[in-house]
Formats: sequence, structure tokens, C-alpha cells
Amino acid sequence: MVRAIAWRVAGVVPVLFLVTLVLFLLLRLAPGDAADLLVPDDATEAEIQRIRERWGLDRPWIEQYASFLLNLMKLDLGRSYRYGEDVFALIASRVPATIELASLALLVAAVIAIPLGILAALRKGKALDGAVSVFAIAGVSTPTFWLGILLVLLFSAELQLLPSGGRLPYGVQLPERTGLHLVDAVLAGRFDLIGLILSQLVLPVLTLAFSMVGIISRITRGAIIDVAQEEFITTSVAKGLTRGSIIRHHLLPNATVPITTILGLELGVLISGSIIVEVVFSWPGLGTLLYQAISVRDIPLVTGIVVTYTTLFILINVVIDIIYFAIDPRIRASQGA
Amino acid sequence: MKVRASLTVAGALALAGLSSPVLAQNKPAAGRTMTITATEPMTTDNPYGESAAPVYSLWCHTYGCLGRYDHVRKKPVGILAEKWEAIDPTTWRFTLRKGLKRHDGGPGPTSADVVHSLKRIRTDPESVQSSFIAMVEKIVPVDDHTFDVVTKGPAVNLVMALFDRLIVTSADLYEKHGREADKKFAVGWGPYRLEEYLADRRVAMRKNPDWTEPDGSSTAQSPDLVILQQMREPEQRINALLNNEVQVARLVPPQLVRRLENRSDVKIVKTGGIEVMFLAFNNKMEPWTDVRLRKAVAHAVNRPLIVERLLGGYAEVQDGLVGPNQFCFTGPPDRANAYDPAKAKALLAEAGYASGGPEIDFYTAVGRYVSDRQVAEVVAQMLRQVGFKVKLHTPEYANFWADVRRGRSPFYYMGRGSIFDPSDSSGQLFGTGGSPRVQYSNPKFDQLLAAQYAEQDEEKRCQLWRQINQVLIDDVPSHFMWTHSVVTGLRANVDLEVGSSGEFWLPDAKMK
Repeated sequence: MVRAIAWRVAGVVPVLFLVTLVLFLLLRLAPGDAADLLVPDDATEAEIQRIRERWGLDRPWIEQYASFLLNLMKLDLGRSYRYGEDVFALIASRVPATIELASLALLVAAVIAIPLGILAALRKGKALDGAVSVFAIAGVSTPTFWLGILLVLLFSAELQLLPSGGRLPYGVQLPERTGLHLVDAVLAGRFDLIGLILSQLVLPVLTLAFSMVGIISRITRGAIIDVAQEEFITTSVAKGLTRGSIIRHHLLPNATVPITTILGLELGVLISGSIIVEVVFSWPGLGTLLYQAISVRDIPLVTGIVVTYTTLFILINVVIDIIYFAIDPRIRASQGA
Repeated sequence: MKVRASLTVAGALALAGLSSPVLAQNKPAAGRTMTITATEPMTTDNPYGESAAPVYSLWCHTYGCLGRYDHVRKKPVGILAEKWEAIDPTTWRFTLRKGLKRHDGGPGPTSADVVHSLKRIRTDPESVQSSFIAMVEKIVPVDDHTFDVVTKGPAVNLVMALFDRLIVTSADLYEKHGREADKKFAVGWGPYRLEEYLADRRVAMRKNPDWTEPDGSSTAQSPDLVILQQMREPEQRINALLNNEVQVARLVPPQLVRRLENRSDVKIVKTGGIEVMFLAFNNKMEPWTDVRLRKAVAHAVNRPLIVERLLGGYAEVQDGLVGPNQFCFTGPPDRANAYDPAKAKALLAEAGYASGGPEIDFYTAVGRYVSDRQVAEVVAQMLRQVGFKVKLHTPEYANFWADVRRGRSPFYYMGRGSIFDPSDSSGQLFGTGGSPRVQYSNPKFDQLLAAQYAEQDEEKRCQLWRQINQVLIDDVPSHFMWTHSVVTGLRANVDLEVGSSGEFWLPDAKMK
């Protein structure tokens, strides 16, 4: 097991190398020059050249890439052209907001989707199954920016129940320990802020969760139906076990592996795919940072964020492997544990 | 059972939290608080690290700048400077206000601070503002409160160029703390003191109790606390205004104005803008070397119809570079290129395209300007109707801009922001050797432009501008379309005079 995880972690190195190389090439091949985008419309050629020299954009791309890799080995992602700040520090300041949003969205999606998937599987071919399918398809096919705007329109502008976006308003003091506001509020004993923090999370979380519900419920349904066709389930029925007992002790535990897989994958997708939702709700996470960085071809920042996404994605996969190991005795046996 | 109980408790806690008046919790309780939507990126606390009108305005309110142009009263007004005069064609003398106190109790602004600020704009590695001071040769202190700005050539527009943009920061704080001064000692002399700067999120500033307006007007009803809240999505800005999360929603696009109309709790302020939109030709690329084809485009496009139907009336058709909201507008030009499709067809026939053509590539940015893609689609269709074979391209902005800046776009729709005094921008766009974007060269234009730089008499200078405008209309190096109106949404208890640039002076704002 340890060896498998070590291999998986070691795999980060070639993946990061490839990802950063492709990114560098793409950003360098694209016609837009960061220096052009950093200066105002009326900038002179001399000023553009000064900016180019300042950020080393006048050097050959291979030289820029080599220097980026050397710095990456020292965990130095360089400085952002646009923000003028250390990329690592910038990313570190935004990661918690994205993780808080993505984790809660996944939690909400799982709480809704897994029971729905189980119910749909148990009522296969019935009206409920059809209704869940319709709901699932709606979730997968609804564009998040459209849903987000509609939710803001309803809950913010019309009903005036929830804020239209942003994170913790001005003047609210919350000691930052983890950057996850809900956790920080609990750690600081500021339970009075929980409602406020949740109110700012509700709309972006629902927007993200809705798209996840569809896919998670479909995978759950499929997993349960697959397991239900196994011989040990037939045996359980023949032994006269109750329906509830079969579901709790045989169906669900055996369907956990594919459900865990999809939850892990979806968390990765949520973290890297919340850009639009973050922009719509002015959520100060990695997504808004990436949006800003791409718009001005801020190569160190774009590369840094993509490196972060890649690393997080791989780490999530490692965690899923560990969870497999914990929940499935067959995997433990195959690993010789 | 345990799981069910835990879920019930968690649900109850969440409901308890959400059932409290969350929107009320979102509003800071201090005095008159005005939250304004910020639409431009706010990425750095370095006052010289961004170059956009709202960012200059923020720093003018906090650090302070020499002065501002009052677009409502159409005159320059001092902020840190109390007097300015041209003492010869290449020298302007400025006198700073005395008796101002820095926010931390430090001394008032001095000539040394202005010299330091100029130096920082030129040498700070993060500065992107040096273009607007390109004409400045040096600043020579005369005494603590008086300094001369010496320009490289005659620069009658110097005051307009420096006002609203030359942010004055403290020389001694920078000397002691370097770049950290922007983070830990962000104090200046302006009417508001910076309290918080969170990149991409918000900026908070509180009224400076020591500030007095140069004309002595009262600031008693102006907001005590101002929060600039980053909201780049127009829908979000409107919704936030409607639920009173913000009191000022900037840049309301025409298609959303209707949602604010006929309401008692919000109002709309419409101001004529100064961002000139135009169809630009690369005058050295075929087929645009032929003036008849450029004119055919000008006659083929029905600007009033587009303004009325597509832009909802929230734009003003403009002939030439100088329009009603700009400096030196002396009324409609003597000749203009009005909509006349028959004339467009005749010009095409005269140029050898009687049976259709030429094939042209037309570029537009998407999402950069108001309804840019839709405008371009309509323009393309109008051009097709007179015979042009148009291929419309909608590249990503970075690619679009790179091609425009390098002179690789043959024909494109774009805007030029905040052209109030058009001297520098027209030189850059249309002057010989100005920039490769339009590649236009006309000795008469160059001569008139140089003459207006040296003309101190405003009336004579404006007559020169009338001639310049006419050259641009007759020769059509670009076809000018309109200026978009600046639409700002306000809560009913807010009174604000919004300038043509879209900016406003907060001490003038009134909150009931």
C-alpha cells in the first residue's frame, strides 16, 4: 500500500513537468503578449519594452521555462506580472476559499445525490427512477453561470434573503487560522458568524452542487443495480434476510467503491472547475485568480495555479486510494496487507 | 439513530444561522456607509501599478493627486494643487495647497513629494503609468510648495494630462519603508483615508476629518465610510443594488437598465460618455489604402439605427474624434459621413467593385465593450448589404489586442477610453509614426495637431480642433461611431454627480 502511494506521489513529477511544458508552450504560442496587456492603451513601445525586460519576456521561451523549473524545485513559483506579488503566497491566500466552496458543494451534492441514486436503483423502471433521471439530466445540462444568475435574481434581488456574492463583509473580524471561514469561526468560538458565513456560501454552493447531483446520483444508481445482480445478493434473499438488512449490509458496502471514486473525481473537478461560479459570485478563490491571470497572460500565475490544481487532483486521488484500502478488504488482500 | 440525531442538530443550527437577518449583517453599521461596485481589476496596492480611470480615482481620493477635471462643471479643479499656470510654452508652474495634514498627522504635500512621485512612476518596476508623463522632461522645485513642470515640447494639454492621474505619495515614507510603505503606511492627503485593501475583493476608505474642499463647499453629507466592492458581472451589480447591498452600481449595461426603471428605491443617472467607439482601418493594408472603400464603409453603417435598436438609446452618435462630451467641441462638423447606402454602393462601383466585393476581414473583441459582438454582427450585415464580402472574426481579447497593437488587424471595431482632451490619443492613433494600429499619415493632420499643442488661447485651439476633426471625417482613417452613455444605478437616498469618465468625486456625494 505504502509503495503504491509512494509511486502515485512520485508520479506527480513527470505530470507536473508535462503540464507546465504544455502550458508554457501554449501561452508562448498564443498571439497575446503579457507586456501588451499589462500597460494601458496609450503606452509607448518603449514602455512595453521596459515591461517585457522587467519580466524577462524578451528571453527565449526555453530559457524562461528552464528558470521556471529551477525555481519550482525550490518551491518558488515566481512573481505575478499583474499582482506584483509572490505567486505561491497569492495562491496560498486563495486556496482555502476554493476548498471551502468545493467541499461544501460536494457535501451537499452527496447528501442529495446518494439517497436519490439508491432510491432510483431500488425503484428501477418506476416513476421515481424516471423523476430522478430527469433531475439528474437537468443538473448535468444546466449551465452553472445561468443557474447562478437565476438564483441570485430570485434569492438576492427578489426575495432579498441572501447576499448576491462575496465572502465575509467589511468590518467582520474573524481570526484566520485555516482560511476556511466556517472552521475558523468554530475554532474562534464565533458561532454568531456561522449564519453569516453560510448565507454567503448558500448560492454558490447550490449552483455547484446542482451540476454534481446528476452525475453522482446516476453513478450511485448504476453501482447499486450492478451489486444487486451479484450472486451473494440472491443468496441473501434466499436466506430470508430483510430488505433493509440486505441494503445496509450487502448492497451499500459493495457499492461504496465506485461512489467513492466519483466523489473524489468530482471534488477534483469542483476545485478546478469552479471558475465561472467564483466569477459570478465574486468569490475570492483560485478560480477568480485564474480568470484574472489568463486575461492578462500572467504566465507565472497561470502556471502556478495549474500546478496547484494538478497537485491537488493527484493528492485527492491518493486519498481515494487510501480510502479504497480502508473500505474494501479485497484491495487490502491484493496488496498483501 | 445517532447519525439521524446529528443531522437534525446540524440542520437546526444551519437554519438558525440562516434565519437571522443575514443581509442586515452584511451592512457595516458605521455612519453613512456607501458601497460602490468596482468593475475594474483591483490587483495591487501599489498606486502606480494599475492604469485605469477607477483606480486613479481611488488613489486620488486617498493619497491625493494634483487635481481633477470636473466633468459636470467642465473645468479643472485642484485637489492638492491650488494654482497652475503656463509660464512659457514648455513650462507650467504649480502651487500646492498649504495647511493640509497627512492622514497620520505628518506634514502636508511638498514639491519633493511631487518629484518623488514622478520618479516612482518612471522607475518603479511595477509602474505601468509612465505613458501619461511621456511629455514631461523634468519637475523643478521652486520652493516647498511651488514647482515647475518642464515639458519636452509645447504641451498646452499638460494640466489635463496630469490631473486625475498624477498620484502624489509621500517621499519620506517611501524613503524609510520602500514598497512596504504602500502596504503599511498607505497614508496621504486626500479626502479619504485607506482602511483596507483586499486585492480582487474590496477597498475600504474612511472620510478624512481634516479635509476641506478647495472651494470650501460642505462635505457634511458625504459618506463616512466608502467600500469599493469588486463585482465584475453586471447581473450581480444590479441585484446587489436592488437588495441594497450596494448603494452605487457602476456601468449598468443598456439591456439591464429596464430592471432599474420605474422603481422608487433606486434611480438611474445617465451621463454622456467619452469612450469613443470606432471602426478602425489599417490604412496601409489592402483594400483600405483606397479612401473610397473607407468612405463606403462609413456610408453603409446606419449608426442611429444601431444606437436606437441595439443600444437602447444609451449612446450618442459621434462624427469625428471630438464630440459633445469632450474638450473643444464646437458643434457639429461642416461635413459628415451620414448613412447613405446608395452612395456606398456608388463608391464601391467607382473603386472597381460594381459586381460585389471586396472580401474583407472584420475583427471585434467580445465582452470588452458594450454589446461589442452584437454591434459587429449588425455592422457586418450592413456592409454585406452594400456589397462588401465580410468575414467576421471574434478572437479572444488578448489575441485581438495583440494584433491591433502590432498593426496586424486590417479592420476592427474598438473603443478608446476616456478621450477628454484628444491631443495625445489622436497623435498616437492618427499621427505619422504614432502607432501601427491605424497606420495613417497626413501632413495636414500632423501640422494641425502640432499647432494646437502650442496654442494657449483656448478659442483658437478649439478652432484648430474643428479643422483636425474635419480632416479625420473627410479622410476616414477610421469611422467614428458613438460614445456609450455612462449609466450608473443609485439607491434613492444617494445623490451623486457622475462625470463623463464614469468617475465621481466622493466629497460631493450626498447620502440622506
